Amino acid sequence: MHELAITNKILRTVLSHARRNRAKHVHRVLLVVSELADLQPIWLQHYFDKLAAGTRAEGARLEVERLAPEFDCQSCGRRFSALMSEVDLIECPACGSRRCGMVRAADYTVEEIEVSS
Amino acid sequence: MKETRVIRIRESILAENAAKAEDLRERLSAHGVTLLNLMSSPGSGKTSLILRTIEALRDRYSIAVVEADIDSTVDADRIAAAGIPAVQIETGGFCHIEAAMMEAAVSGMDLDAIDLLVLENVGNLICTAQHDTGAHLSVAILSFPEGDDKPLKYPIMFRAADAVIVNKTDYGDLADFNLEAARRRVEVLNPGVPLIPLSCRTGAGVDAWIAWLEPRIRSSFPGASERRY
Repeated sequence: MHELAITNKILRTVLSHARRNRAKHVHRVLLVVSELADLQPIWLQHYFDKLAAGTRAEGARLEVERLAPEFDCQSCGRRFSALMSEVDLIECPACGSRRCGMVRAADYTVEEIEVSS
Repeated sequence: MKETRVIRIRESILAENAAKAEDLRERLSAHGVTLLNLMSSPGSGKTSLILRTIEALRDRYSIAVVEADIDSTVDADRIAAAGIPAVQIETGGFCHIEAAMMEAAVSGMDLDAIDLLVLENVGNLICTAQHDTGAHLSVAILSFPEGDDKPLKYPIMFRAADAVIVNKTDYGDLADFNLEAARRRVEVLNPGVPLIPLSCRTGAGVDAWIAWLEPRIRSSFPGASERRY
């Protein structure tokens, strides 16, 4: 359900750039989404298909690239990626410190679109 | 086959809401209003925390509440019964509040007469965390019966919070809630964020919450009253 609001924003961003670039059809949309975001690509596509009907993005295929969360070691400053399932046992791969904190904010970015005129 | 070309965009889909939220925040600040956004799952104690906050601060600050409910006025009625103005946003199925909805909700309010405006967001740990409401302070509430693994399941919520409240501590051993595990998880997700255990039911720990909140209310700042009038 929560994909609906996000999908609407994706579509608005896509259409605004398609218009600005005088593109008649959008064929593909590349999204970069944080792995933290609880978004299911299958539902994004489902809502996108419905919302984009009749627009120049009708039929476009969504590609989703996931970004792993990043952490900083508060002892030695090393930055590294880890999975959420590793949070309980997290330690710095360089110095072994357990004082690590997440740094990268949640990203939801329309990275690129593939269009034709 | 049609010739296609690739256009690089690199635009956050939340940018439009973020800009609106920033405008609203500035406007509220100019009127001396502090907007507090409370987020949690349904049933974690948002309304109960608001009632405790009103009880503790109503003699010193003028408080108003915006209640976001999908399709009922139950919470707004509880606030109104405490004698505090409550504006209801029935979201009609919308699962979170965005800056534009807050903007509309405050449009009829006399902002100069309000010190603390509390938004009781929709009970939802996903979408609410992703949308800036224009609040100066965003607080996540977690409660004993929900479990200490909530931060692992909804990391964005616990990252978005300026403080995390752990409510219903009076459950004690009835709930398998490990406060230290929750503290450690929240600390990794959001280093330095305060975690405040309390019970809205018994009142235990509410003073620590008020001690965190009160100095962050704009009109409590030294010289605030001179600036406002």
